[in-house]
Amino acid sequence: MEMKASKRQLLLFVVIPLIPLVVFWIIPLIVSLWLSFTDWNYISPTFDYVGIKNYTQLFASQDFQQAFAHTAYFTFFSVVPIIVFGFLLAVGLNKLKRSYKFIQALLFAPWVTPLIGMSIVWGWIFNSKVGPINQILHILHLPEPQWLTNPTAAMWTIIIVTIWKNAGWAALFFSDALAKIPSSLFEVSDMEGLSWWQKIWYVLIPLVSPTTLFLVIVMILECLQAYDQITVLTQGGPAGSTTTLLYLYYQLGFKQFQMGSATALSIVILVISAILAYISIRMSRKHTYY
Amino acid sequence: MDLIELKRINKQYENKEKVIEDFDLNIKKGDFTVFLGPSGCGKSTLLRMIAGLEKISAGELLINGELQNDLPPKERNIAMVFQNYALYPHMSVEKNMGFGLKMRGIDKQIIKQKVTDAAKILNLTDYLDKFPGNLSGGQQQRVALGRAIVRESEIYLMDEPLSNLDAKLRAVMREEIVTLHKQMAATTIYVTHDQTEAMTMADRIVILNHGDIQQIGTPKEVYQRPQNMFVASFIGIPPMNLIPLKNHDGKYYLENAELSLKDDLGNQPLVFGIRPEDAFVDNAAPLKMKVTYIEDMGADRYVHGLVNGTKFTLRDGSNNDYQVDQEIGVGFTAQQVSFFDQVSTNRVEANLWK
Repeated sequence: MEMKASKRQLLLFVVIPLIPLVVFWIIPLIVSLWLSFTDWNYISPTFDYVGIKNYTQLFASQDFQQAFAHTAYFTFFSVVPIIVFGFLLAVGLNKLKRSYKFIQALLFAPWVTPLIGMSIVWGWIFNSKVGPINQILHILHLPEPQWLTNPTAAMWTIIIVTIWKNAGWAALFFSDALAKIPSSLFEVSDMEGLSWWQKIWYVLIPLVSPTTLFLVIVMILECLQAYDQITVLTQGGPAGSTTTLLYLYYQLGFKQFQMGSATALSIVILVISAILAYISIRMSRKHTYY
Repeated sequence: MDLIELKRINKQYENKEKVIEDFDLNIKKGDFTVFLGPSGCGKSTLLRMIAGLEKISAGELLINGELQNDLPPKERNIAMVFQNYALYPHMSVEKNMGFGLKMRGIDKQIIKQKVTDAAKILNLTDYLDKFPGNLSGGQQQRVALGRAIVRESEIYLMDEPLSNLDAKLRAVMREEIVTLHKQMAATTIYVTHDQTEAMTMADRIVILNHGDIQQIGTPKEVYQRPQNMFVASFIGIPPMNLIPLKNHDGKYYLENAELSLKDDLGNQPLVFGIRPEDAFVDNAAPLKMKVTYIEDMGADRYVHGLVNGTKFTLRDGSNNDYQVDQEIGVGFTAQQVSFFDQVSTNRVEANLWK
């Protein structure tokens, strides 16, 4: 078979698909990198080259350090429950004999619904006066947190919405991975006398580990890019308590018009993402035993 | 008392026809029993009921005289080998073999010793650190056997363990499994659709069709004295030739040749059966066959043809050449003939004079 592509094939299958990538990703990336060394204010036609000042200022600023800590907190407490709930949902889902497709569709719904719209609904649900959550808590005589105005509660509101959006989606991946495990492996574990818990721990979890790794990475990136729920529910507040790196970037660039600092921050976010992607590729190589 | 007793075992899946109905069988300690039958005959279902992987719908399963019906698999002291090996892909060979013992809380040193011993028997010592994905099919099945033998169970169940292997390896593994069975003084139930495995390995073959026992016997018995036409045509490659006899005035005719029976069978309609190796070319014989196909297997040569429209095969030891469409005479050894009832298909005890 002729393995070398003809010029026409190269054009058709490589160059043409590359055009949008270059226009919308590579060129903006280069421009951003360049802007991050300037003091452009987003409006004036002129700006000066300032070297690495934007970066040194950024790393020194309290806003950045806080946003970094918030991002780490938000990411950790979103990703871990997403993975755990997703896995448990999948274990349950795969036990179903009926309504499998229906439940699958339900789990998929939060993922395909635009989060901007859903965040407005969540904003109402979490409303501390008229929202149903606090009404239920009131009936049960439990404390009623100021979900959106208390700094700690606000972060957890964002986290809950993020978990709600992603856990079902993660469950679908786990469900597929679980379904691919041959039934004889479970029969062997029956013969060997494993309890339900031992089966989960010694058989299910190790066998879905490639899926888990994939989901952890995708979910971390998802959290790094979380924007919709923050802008609708809290606008990064109260007192910056839900300002993540990406939201700080938005504030710097489009609220404070410090485009130089904002692009510097975007480059930092990009580097963090790249490092995570690299780690995931290295780890997934280690985990491919079959 | 027999080690395993199956009493009127039934299996029925929800709202479906019975797969197995009133199945009775006793298995003695130390026996190598083979369940043989075509796919869908219920042999695997039976095995899985003995293992505890399938519920018994009705009837009793006794092991050592104790009722097992409601015991979970792990409490039955049974080890099982699966067709697709069922090894844990994320564990090394050593971990795979020792896993069951580890889950039973056995001391690590003892596990290590048992795994090392089993690996020696199965020639797996060099592979203990490898993962199943890096082993060949034969090696994987050895690991699965190893996992079964470290358990030192009383009973070993094997569900078509060799059917994923190539022909040459199957022959090697057949011998290994039989040797292992003797070494372990184990009681083995082995399920297969491959009659070569059944004939070469079994102490006793249980031939099944549609969930019913067709015949139980040693390989020799089922081969030489098939109890019905199903067994006659299922066992043997190529199978036994079966030709319906004609009956005029109390006399039986194989095509136009009269057969003189010692026994008086009245006018019972009969089918005549003869194995290909008990038939031969004899151009003086009255039975004529039209050659359709010659099959040269190297050691043996089979001549296939039609006897008045019915397929017939004989094994020919001569060096003669036969042509397609050539008409040859067929003789047979009178002592090796079988008879079956045309209606019930069961064996009829009758003998020829010569």
